[in-house]
Amino acid sequence: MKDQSRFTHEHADISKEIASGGGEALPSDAAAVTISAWMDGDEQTSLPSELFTESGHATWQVYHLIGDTLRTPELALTSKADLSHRIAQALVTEPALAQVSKNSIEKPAVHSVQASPAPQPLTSLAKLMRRVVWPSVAMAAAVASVVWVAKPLFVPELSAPSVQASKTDATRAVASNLEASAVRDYVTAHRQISGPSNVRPAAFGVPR
Amino acid sequence: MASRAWHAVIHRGNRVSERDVDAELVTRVQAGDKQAFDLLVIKYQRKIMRLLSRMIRDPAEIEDVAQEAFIKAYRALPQFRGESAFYTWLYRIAINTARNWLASNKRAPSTPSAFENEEGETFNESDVLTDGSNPESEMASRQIAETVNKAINDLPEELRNAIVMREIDGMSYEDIAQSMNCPIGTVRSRIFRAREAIATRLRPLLGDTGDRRW
Repeated sequence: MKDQSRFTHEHADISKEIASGGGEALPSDAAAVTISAWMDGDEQTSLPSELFTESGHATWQVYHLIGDTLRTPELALTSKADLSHRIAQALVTEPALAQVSKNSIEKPAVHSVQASPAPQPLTSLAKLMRRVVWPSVAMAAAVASVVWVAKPLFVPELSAPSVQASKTDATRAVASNLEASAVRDYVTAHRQISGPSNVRPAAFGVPR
Repeated sequence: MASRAWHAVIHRGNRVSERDVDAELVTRVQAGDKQAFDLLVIKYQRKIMRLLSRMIRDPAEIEDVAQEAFIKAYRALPQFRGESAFYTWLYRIAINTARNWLASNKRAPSTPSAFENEEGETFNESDVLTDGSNPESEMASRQIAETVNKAINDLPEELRNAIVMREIDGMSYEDIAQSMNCPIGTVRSRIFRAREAIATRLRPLLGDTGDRRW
């Protein structure tokens, strides 16, 4: 904010300087000043929207031609060799890169950062749930599970008789089953067929 | 010793800001702004063509290969992560495009050492690139260079120093302001006025009337 106001103030100074020392000041000069400063990487200048006009392109082109020619006279090429029109025409049929990225190509990291929605601030209810309620519920559940597991160890009368009773019940059930005539017949028949061992000789029933 | 270190800082800082300019344009292209790519083409087309002229003789073929290189770069921009400077990345694409073109046409590069300097930044200044290699275009190029030189010499000293510090020495606005003992706003103004003074003489040669519509 401070930088912005400083820039605005300096921008006013520039207009005065242009008017006083640089001859006639054109209304368009402010945009050209911004283009000139931005192309030099001036930190206090943001990307000028005028750069994306036809006139902005022309200014950008001639300023870069001046720079190239000053550094390397061999780069003093005329507009006849200007490739930008040819390339712009060739790119008319190309899809815009944002569409390409969405459809087929992996999205660049820059875009994934930009495209991801900003994290929403937590509401007070959500904060309360997150900080108090859920931890309390988790603690209560942990205590309950420990008590449920440990209770038989501390109160033996609750566990041992029930185990013994269940064993007795099972034995009685098996005995009563064995006493049943149908089961007894079945077991007898099974023993006759299977014999003393599980492995039967191949010539079963043939006298030796 | 200290001044040398300071000078290194100056140049490093300047490169970072130059890189930021390209990075901002690249981000816009990646977001679907084709016009931003036009600005990158305008900025680097001359350097790319000079680079290709080391490998290919015919100017018409140089233009074709340069165009192909720029279109390849445009298509590959979604994969560009900014790990290297944009111009370094672009130069590599141009070199590879030229190699492929030479291989497909079964030709050897015009200069044996043409592949050695892949970034194209260290070529001899005596390497001549003309747009069209005919007497007219050579004369036009010479005329542009002479016009720029004459315009620079005719500038008031404060404007000339400012534009030379910026364009030739590569100094940042902050460092020029320190060196010239004036506010940054004044530096901004002087560089702009110098550029405009030179551009006013150049525009008739470029067929640009200088009419502005903003």
